[in-house]
Amino acid sequence: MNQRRTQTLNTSATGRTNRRGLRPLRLRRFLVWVLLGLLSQAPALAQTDGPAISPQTARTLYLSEVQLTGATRTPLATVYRHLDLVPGQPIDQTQLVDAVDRLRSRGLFKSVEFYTRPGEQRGHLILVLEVEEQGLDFRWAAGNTDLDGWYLVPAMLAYDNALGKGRLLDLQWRVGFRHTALLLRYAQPTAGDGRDYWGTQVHFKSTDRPYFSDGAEYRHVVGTGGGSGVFGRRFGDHNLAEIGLIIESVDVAEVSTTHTSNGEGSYGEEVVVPTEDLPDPIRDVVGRDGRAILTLDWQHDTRAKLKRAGSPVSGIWGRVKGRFVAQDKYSHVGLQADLRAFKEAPGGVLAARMRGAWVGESAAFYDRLYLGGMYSVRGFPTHSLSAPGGDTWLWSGSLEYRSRILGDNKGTKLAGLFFLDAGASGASDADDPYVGVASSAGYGLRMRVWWLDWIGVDVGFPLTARPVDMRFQVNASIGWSF
Amino acid sequence: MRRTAAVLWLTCWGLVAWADEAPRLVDVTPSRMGDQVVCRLQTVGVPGEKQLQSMRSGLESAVELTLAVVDENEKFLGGRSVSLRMAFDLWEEVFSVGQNGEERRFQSLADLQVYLSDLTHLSVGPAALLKPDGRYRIKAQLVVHAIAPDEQKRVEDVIAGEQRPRREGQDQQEASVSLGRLIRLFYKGGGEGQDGQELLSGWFTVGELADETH
Repeated sequence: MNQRRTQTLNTSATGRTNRRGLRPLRLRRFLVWVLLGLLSQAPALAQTDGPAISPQTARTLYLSEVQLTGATRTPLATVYRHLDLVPGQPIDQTQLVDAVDRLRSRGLFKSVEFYTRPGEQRGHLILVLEVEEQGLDFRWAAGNTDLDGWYLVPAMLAYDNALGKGRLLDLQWRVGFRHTALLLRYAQPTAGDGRDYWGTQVHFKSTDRPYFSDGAEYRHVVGTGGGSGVFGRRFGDHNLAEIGLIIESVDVAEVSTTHTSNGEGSYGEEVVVPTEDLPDPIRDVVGRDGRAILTLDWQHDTRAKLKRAGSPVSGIWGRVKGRFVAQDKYSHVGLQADLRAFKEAPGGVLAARMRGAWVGESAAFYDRLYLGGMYSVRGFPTHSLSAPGGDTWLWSGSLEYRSRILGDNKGTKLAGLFFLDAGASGASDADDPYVGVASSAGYGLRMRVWWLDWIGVDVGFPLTARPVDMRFQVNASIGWSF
Repeated sequence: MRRTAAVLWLTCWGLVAWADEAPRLVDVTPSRMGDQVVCRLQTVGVPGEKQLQSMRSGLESAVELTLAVVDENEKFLGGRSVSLRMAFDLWEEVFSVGQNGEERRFQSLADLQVYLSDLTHLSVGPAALLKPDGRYRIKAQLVVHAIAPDEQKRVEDVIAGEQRPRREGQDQQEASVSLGRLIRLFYKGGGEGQDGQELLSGWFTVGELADETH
């Protein structure tokens, strides 16, 4: 059976090559049919295994057409665009299964069943898709964002592919570790020639931004509301570029709240810190403001589809992103670069991340950079390695060894990891911008919950001076840290 | 003798029934071969109409059988999965069934149907799992794929639950699941399992198992 499969794959490769030279293919196919015709007249010979019976070129399968049943609003043209198949093209089982998987992953339909029927000629097949259109769907979701950490979506109303064009529509209420949000999103994951995509959203979001001062943790609420849109295009299999525009209002609370006591008796827990006692960079921006943000993003992704311990076994993911913020005296430019690399190692996968970022000095505290926490240096609480007003430059790096602990027929169910993080940050407008490199090491667990995502916990131990009196830091997460 | 009877049964009216019969299990019979518990599965309607169409267009179809020994409390004691990949060679015009790298060839559809209607000596697990005084049953599940899934499907690269597509380029990861689907799966007591037909054998003890070693 394995041998037969290998032959099929070789056959496909031959077929693709010959598409550029149709004459030799036709001639060979003609000869094959003549031979087959002669052999069909001689049953005794046809029973023998001879090379003439199974010439490789004749065994190529071709897709004649796609037939769609059950669709009430989605046209076949939309389906072709998402399948990425063309009538007449050579096809094999893997290509066909992958194409249907791709269609399923785009969420156009509630369900997609499929089979094939013979076409008019031998070796030509018809793909039959039996679909059920999407309806109004109540959903539950979880995720994480670079800016706000992890979140849950206890209520989400989705109506995907409402117009039969493959667009996604949802209204979600998001509750996070440090933020709550209401979002209305409308997106087209595949547009134009299939390489473009776009999305729009209206959002109302409130984030508890942590900052540390004198060994105590404070929270300051920053609310945003507005609309945004993005347009992106994929280049080849590994690159994409995106441009985005956000127009929003920003509302910075007039007071902070203590989250932990500073141990000096100044403030206990959950105490309101009045405006006059706020750190200068925060007090200066209290109130409402409006702004427009233009983003430019380039991403490169060569990560392997094959995973081990929940991680790609090889490849890199990289990003360079620029932000241009137009906001009166807080207008600024920001840049960030992020590189993640994966390599299979004995018993698991080695994963590494390197990130660098810079923002202009005029950026408000909520647009500045902060070090510490789940997505930078895990042995320290979130933002604890930066001043309350934030930093203007930052770098951080992480090295992780990830290994499977338990598995099932779907792959890894429980993975363990060891990590080493390091990073530094500073503010070019501060008196002493460089505070040294912070580092930490630790371990973590990730469990795959089939109806949710990877959930996990990391325990980090600081290896350098601690800004707060904690011997270790526990971080809970939804998804991987990178 | 048993195989001859099966051939006659199918030839007489089984083929007529096959045409409009959905693939399903009709009987599970446990027995023993040496130190292994084995079972015989009788099916009807395999390959199904859509499987046959797919095979006749040159692609592989598949039947997945999951076999388990359970005790009186429905506790899983042991078991295994068997995947039968069925194909039709468009050029040689023969059917084949592949299992664990081995291939059987059939000159006609009737031969294939006979083979698939009576699958014998399917290993379930070691007999040592069973206590002499315990009562057990074999639970068999049949899942039919019109087109065989990719054996090297990269299941780990997506979250196993129902996934909504992510827009590329976002600064976030997000996974969602339909509440209706979630409730249905929890209500059924299922996890990541696929839909399929299940059938239980009759109760048996180790001593009651016929030894088919010879």
